[in-house]
Amino acid sequence: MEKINRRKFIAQSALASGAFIMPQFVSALSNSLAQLPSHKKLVLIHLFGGNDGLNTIVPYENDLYFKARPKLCVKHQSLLKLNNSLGFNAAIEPLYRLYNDGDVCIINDVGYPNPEFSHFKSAQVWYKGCENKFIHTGWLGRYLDQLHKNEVHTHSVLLFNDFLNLTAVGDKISGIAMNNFVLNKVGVGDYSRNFVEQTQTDEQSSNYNDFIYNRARKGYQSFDYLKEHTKSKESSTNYPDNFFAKNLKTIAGLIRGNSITKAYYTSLTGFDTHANQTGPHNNLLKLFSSALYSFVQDLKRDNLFDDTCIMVFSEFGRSVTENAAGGTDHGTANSVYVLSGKHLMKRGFYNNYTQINDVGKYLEHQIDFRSIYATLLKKWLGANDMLILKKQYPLMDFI
Amino acid sequence: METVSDFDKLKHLYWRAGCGPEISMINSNLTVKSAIDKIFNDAKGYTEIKMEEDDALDTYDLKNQDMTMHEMARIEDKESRSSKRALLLRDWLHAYAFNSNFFREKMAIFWGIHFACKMGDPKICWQYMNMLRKNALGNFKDLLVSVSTSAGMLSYLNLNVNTKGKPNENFSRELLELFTLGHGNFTEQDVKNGTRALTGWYAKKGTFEFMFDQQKFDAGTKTFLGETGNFNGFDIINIILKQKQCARFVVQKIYRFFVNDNLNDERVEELAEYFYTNNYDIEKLMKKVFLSAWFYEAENIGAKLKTPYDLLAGIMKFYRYKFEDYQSFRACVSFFGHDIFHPPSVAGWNFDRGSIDSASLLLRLDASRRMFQNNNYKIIEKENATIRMGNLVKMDLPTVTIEVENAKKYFKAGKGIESSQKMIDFLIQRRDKKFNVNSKFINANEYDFIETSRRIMSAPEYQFC
Repeated sequence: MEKINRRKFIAQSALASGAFIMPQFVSALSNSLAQLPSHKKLVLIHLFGGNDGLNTIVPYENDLYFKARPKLCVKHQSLLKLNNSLGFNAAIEPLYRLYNDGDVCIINDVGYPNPEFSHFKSAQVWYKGCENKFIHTGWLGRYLDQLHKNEVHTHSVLLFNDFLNLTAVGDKISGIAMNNFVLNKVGVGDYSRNFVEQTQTDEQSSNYNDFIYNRARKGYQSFDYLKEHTKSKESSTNYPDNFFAKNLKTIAGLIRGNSITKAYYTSLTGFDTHANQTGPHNNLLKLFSSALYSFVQDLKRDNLFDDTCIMVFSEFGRSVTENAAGGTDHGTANSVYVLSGKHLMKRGFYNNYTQINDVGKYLEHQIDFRSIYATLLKKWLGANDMLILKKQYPLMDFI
Repeated sequence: METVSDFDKLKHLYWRAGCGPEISMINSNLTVKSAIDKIFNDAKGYTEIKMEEDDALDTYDLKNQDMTMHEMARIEDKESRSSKRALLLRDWLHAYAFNSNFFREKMAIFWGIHFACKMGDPKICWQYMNMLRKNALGNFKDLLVSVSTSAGMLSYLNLNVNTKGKPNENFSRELLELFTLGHGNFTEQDVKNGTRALTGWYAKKGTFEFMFDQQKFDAGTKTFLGETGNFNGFDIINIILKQKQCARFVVQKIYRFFVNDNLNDERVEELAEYFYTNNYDIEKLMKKVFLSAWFYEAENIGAKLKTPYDLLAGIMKFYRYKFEDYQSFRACVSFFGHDIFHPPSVAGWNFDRGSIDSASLLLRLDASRRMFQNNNYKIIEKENATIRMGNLVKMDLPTVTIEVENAKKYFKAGKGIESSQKMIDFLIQRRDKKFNVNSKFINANEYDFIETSRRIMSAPEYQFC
């Protein structure tokens, strides 16, 4: 597969100087890393299906962008322009506001070598966070494995999601999947609970029944714990009325309620826009960014944003060229957004923006996503990144 | 080796070929062999599930000032697409739980999971569902062609917009990765050339018939899985089926779904060979599975986590529990998270044991309790049958009925403890020492047909089949 190097293109763009693009607020604030990261929270947001990064933040001065996407390109009047060459899709205006507030660091061209083009394989690569093929656990699961024994609970890594995925699966223990439907709406009944709580089982057993008793027992414990910790007073921030915003609202509630949970994961699906993408994609961007905006304001109100770091990612980006159906196919490298308060060291763009220098080719990654993981593990969560990722990845300085 | 009684073998067969045994199985003269013959014979029957036409608007006069807001809302809701989809799904599940051709329905559900397809238009759902049911036990090739040319799939994976010079890879990729060969058994070049061969396909508006547009077809030469020619979509399906890997991939999925999450390579290889040499005959393959001695080995009994459909339909079958309207059904299915017309992703669902997550596990454990919300049902005697009418969704409408007279008679024994033991033997597939009739949660001395069975079904052991 042929790939292109963004740097080749930069030469012909307005960004030829190579200077980082700064948001409208002054510049990155300097902060020391002296503060212990023990009570820090990490929130992952997965835009499942592969968000179209090129139509999210648009290189509107690049002729090749318009050539690659004659129908799909975001028109000038629908752009929130940053300078002479880049603009936020108006549909993601709330993210633009966060950007201007200095809450966002945009890391471009994130990916990994030999990219997978299957959603599931590529998502597994991101969930796993390790290149060793003999390892079948997820990066936050391995993080959970090495926490101090006082901190090891299934709800220390919480997937606020309908399904458990590899992210939270460890060797000794796995995180928990929970959703608002169970937590806040229907609750759990006592018939099964009696069976589970009053029956002795072997924790280490792989016997089927023990397995399900053990998992259910941990489920009930975590359910009670999380229920207890969402009881903190109702947020005064207005969230949009949709399930994704409700997920973020509950996560904010747990952070406010001082839940022991270290890492959260939630996802928004629908980004696999192979056909007639503009309307649905804009709706998703709007839905995602307005919920994110409320979430950040909610955390800020209670001075919790400084201790929270949010990472937004997709399992891959999309093809540079539009397809005949007014959509885009699976691609490779994409941008990752990192949001946090005063500890965010790079605000605006971490590196130069994704560029296109040849229509019809895939974008080449410049930053391995595992460098971002390593940075978050070491500098944010205070964990041993090498132990978890099984390799030393270059640390970055966005946080 | 642990011995398995004939009774347990029969129950195992009925759980894997359907959603559990009938009460009448217990005192029958069935052997495993004769039960297999009966199951396969009964499964030959196919009747199309009809799409219910809305008659609400005829029944109610919209101008009637006396009509309450509640009734208005009910009519509007019934008009909606989602209520029509819920009705289809309800009728499908009723067919699965109560009809003698349950094995056909089980296979159709399996294919619905394999060929996950998200659909909105109820007419497309209806077409897709009946297509799966009709082809469920036939030839895999016919099924694959029917799926690929269905309005549902043409739209879901964007085949209808894949045209010459303007390719859309979505279907081609998933055809290879998810439906036939599996990851790692094809190249990116195969995806691209497959996409070219699949150009020109679309579904006619309104009728949803499959159509081919020669103008939009890429007639150029393509190399696909090692063969070169000016292939069309049907050609590439044939080329895929020539690969033994296709038989292997499908058999692996069948083994995991019907036998055990843990693959046995030797058996898979033998079955794949058989499936391949028998020209992808699904019925023959399944018969071979159920006739194999290893299928009834202790390690396979109770080794599968029930799918949400099997859990729900199994409870329905036991009580002859019917959803009298779609609201109650929709409310119930939302607990189980398995709307077959709305897969969570292109890859469908994962029902492996290890994949069960906490939130859905807690809901599933609660299923039998929830289906009989304590405060919400009242008993109505009707001839000899006891019918309970509940209102799961808190509307003033009768929503579910049950008929339990036969079951009650069967389990009625001398003492509560004997009845309870009989019930455990019938309901639970995988037992071990800690789960027995003396467990205080079963409360055997206070035996009551409904109450005791609900308690047994709340045991985590009931999640397995």
